[in-house]
Amino acid sequence: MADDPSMEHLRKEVEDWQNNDLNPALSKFGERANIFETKSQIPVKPLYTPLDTTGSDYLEEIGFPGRYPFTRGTYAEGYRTRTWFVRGLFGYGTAEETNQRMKFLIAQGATGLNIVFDAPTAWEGIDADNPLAMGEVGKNGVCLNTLQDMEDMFDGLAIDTLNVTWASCVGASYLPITAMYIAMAQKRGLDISSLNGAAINDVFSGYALHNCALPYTHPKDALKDWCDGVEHALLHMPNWFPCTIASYAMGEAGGPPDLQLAFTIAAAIDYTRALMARGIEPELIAPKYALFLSCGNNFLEEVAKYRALRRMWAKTFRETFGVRAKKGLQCRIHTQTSGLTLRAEQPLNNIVRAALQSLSAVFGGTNSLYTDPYDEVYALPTEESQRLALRTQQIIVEETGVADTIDPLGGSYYIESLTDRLEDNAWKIVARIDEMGGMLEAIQRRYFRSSIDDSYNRYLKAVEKGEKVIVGYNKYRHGEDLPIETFEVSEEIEEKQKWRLKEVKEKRDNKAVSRALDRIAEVSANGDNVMDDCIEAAKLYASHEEIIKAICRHRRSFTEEYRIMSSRF
Amino acid sequence: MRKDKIRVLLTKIGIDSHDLGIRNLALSLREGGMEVIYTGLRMPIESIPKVAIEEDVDVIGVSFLQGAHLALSPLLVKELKEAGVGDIPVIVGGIIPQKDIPKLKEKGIREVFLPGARFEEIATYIKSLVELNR
Repeated sequence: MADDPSMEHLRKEVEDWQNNDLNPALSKFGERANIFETKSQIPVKPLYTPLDTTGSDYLEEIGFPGRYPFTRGTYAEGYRTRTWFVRGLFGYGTAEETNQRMKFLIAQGATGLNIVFDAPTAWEGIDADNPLAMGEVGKNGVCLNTLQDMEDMFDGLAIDTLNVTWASCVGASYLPITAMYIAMAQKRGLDISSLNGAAINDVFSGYALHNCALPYTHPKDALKDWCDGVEHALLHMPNWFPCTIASYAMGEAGGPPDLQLAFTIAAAIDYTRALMARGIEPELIAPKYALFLSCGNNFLEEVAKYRALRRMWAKTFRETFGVRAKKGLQCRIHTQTSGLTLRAEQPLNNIVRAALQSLSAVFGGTNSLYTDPYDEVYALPTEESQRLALRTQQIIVEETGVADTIDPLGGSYYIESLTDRLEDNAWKIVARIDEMGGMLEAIQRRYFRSSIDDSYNRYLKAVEKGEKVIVGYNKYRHGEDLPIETFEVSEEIEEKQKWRLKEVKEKRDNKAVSRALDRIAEVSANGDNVMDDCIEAAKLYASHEEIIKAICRHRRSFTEEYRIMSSRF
Repeated sequence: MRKDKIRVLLTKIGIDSHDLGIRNLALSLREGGMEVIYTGLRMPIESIPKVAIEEDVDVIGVSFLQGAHLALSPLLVKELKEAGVGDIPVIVGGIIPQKDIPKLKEKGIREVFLPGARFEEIATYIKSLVELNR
């Protein structure tokens, strides 16, 4: 390619244009910024031409949607048959409040539901009556303590046709939550193979960012719990995607796109190896992954991120694991727009930010999308702001035409070049993680945490100096913002939930519960899969915390170690 | 005796693990010449007075992004009083509804910083507090 005579001619023409047209104009007017670069610090040139894409062979590196290496899309049909899943995301209060809001979202056109659990449930694995849960019950998600909560939450909803995602449940907390869902299905007489859903249960992301995920477990134990849940689903639930890798959290913590890509790939490699150690074939594992991305505000870099990710994913599973089936090489991507970019000042500007981020995820070819409501910077969203977020996606689908042709930005000299550069950067980081000895090692050396700190701190400083602009914050300010109407979770929710839990604990057969819990503890200590025993305990209305404590009964607590690790910055 | 540097104890209590803001505040205050002690996540409230005394801090800052501010702030104030260091001012920041500010101040929280507050603004406030107290 390099000695292609037409390219040589083009090179001369580009030089001529630069010297005689561009440079004089730039020096006459002066550039409006000292540095033009993406969030991954890739320098951005004033213009891209075919010279910037000559390195890549169309069929090998770009190809067709639905064909290796999937750069242009996961599926051949793109959005021509149906669009991405327009997701509603919710969870607050007790199961009853969440049930009502879920019905509202379905009525507004949501085709999938992401359920958020409160921090005690998702991150700590504790019930509402644990003193540590004080002030947090039902605040930022729904509180789920027993099968009773699960039954009330899905009351009147046909779970065999619903697509649900546990938006947050890390390590061991995935097990009781999913066990309760399965127990509910079985009580309704459903075959669990009919359950559709996914779980964002990425233990690596929890540890990488917060140095903790269920703080009383070691990362190795968390990985064991993760394997138990995934293995069970692989064997019994064909429509369940139990392993979502969440680079979302990496993005939301301020990590740049190249780091998000590398995290995803390195995590996929280690998760796959952990399952292979249980004798599960990569061919079986690969099609079960789902990816969860955050879409930030560097519009074109975000588009390139999706394209690079699909290509890296396909290469990894074909080259590293020898996967042959197409399903195993296609990655399924769920996106949430970036809450980190939302601002408290001039909050209505957030509607525009979320719309642009949604649009770039669509240009990137996301398979599922949740648009952040503009008021999330203040509180949980109101019904009105949630409706507006759904409408944002509906306007993109119905009115703009961008979903009518597949990968409409493919072939742009800049997009293709940026896709290549991002991929190169990310492979280098993957290699570095590999040199360290994999994810667990990289996490223990605080590799992700310090990479993010460096990058986000650089960004904050640039904002403080005014080199980077946040509209309405360090430029284009106007007087006081008018207060917006915000949603509030009543402080009484905590008491209500404690009362609900107390009632369940009084009614159930406590002897049978404690036998079931002993059994879990024993199976866990033997290193065997605890999922079946968790389902049995869930049916007896054993609580979330009780099940997790049983799983961890013979493990050493790491709470204090993690606190100390998290204090370093 | 006058200390040279202002000493700040930053902490996260309860189970909220959103620490991007407080860690960056810590860096910023440190770069601005203050001595910053950050406890990390999930600091037991009852251990805070001891650290505050040992580290001889001028002010304590707590961040809340998950809504536990009303439940947990009073507990911290109470622990400090019981340990005889109720005079160390406690400031709070994070995702906090405007209307909770008076409730927090009533419970003994000296000042509240909402989303959008600048690090500079917080640093200036801390300096003024310390000058008042020393």
